[in-house]
Amino acid sequence: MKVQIEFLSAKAFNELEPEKRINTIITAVKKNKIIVLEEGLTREEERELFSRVMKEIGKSNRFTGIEIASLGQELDAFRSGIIKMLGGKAKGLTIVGPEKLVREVKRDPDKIGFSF
Amino acid sequence: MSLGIYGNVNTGKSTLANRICIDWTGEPLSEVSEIPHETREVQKKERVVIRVNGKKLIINLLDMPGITTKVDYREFIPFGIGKKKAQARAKEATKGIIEAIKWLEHVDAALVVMDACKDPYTQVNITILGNLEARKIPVILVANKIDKKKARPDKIREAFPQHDIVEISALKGDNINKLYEAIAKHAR
Repeated sequence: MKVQIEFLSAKAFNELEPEKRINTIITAVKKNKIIVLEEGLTREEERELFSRVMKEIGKSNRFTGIEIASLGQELDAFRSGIIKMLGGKAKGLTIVGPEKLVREVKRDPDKIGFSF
Repeated sequence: MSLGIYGNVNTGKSTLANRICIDWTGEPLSEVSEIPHETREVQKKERVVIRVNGKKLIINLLDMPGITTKVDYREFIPFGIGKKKAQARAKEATKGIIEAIKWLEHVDAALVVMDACKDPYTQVNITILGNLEARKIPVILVANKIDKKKARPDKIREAFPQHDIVEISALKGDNINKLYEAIAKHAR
């Protein structure tokens, strides 16, 4: 199967309305894309993503979910929000892909590996 | 105090909930099976009274559906469940997971249960812990299934050194008193 990887800059992602951020990820993954976010999701955004993924699975028997791994994102939404307001960048990187495409995710605090 | 039992699928959350309920009320709380997503709704037992070292705790125990980022109805079929029932079960599972995620904001303390035979450093565990930490909710990590030969609770300690960890076998009851002591220590 062809693997398509889409990189999304922190600028492009942060310019989206919060609701659209999660939609963007879901839409890409449902098109069998691996999406790499230059700036990692916050833990709260990950939680929101998990909920949205469950809603999408509930709607269709074809979509079976995601594989996700974040690296180096240890800030909560409040602290990362302040950093962004001051023009800085919150750390981290998040990779999300369709569960049916990603065979295995290997990770440790410094490294992520996706196998297809 | 509401105490949520969180974790990935099939880590032994319901076995632990039953162990706690049987120890202190004489009755189990949840159905247990090897089929993934056996718990598809939050199971609640109110006013479980735990007495540890002279301290009395009244707990509302919440056994949460296992949190995951994927649910495929086909994983139920090898267990002899027909396609339509498997699809219905998958749908129920997704609703249960959403409910469990919502509860992350409302519990007073959490036991995050990990299977000591499996890699603990998963995004699900990291996200659950990150959300509990963000709300300053007290957390005890439970390294479960230490009765199994393959168990490596040290891996859980390595992955999450910032948290208190209790190594138990919910099935056999090993170290369960240590867990009660930890709950009493963290009770607000």
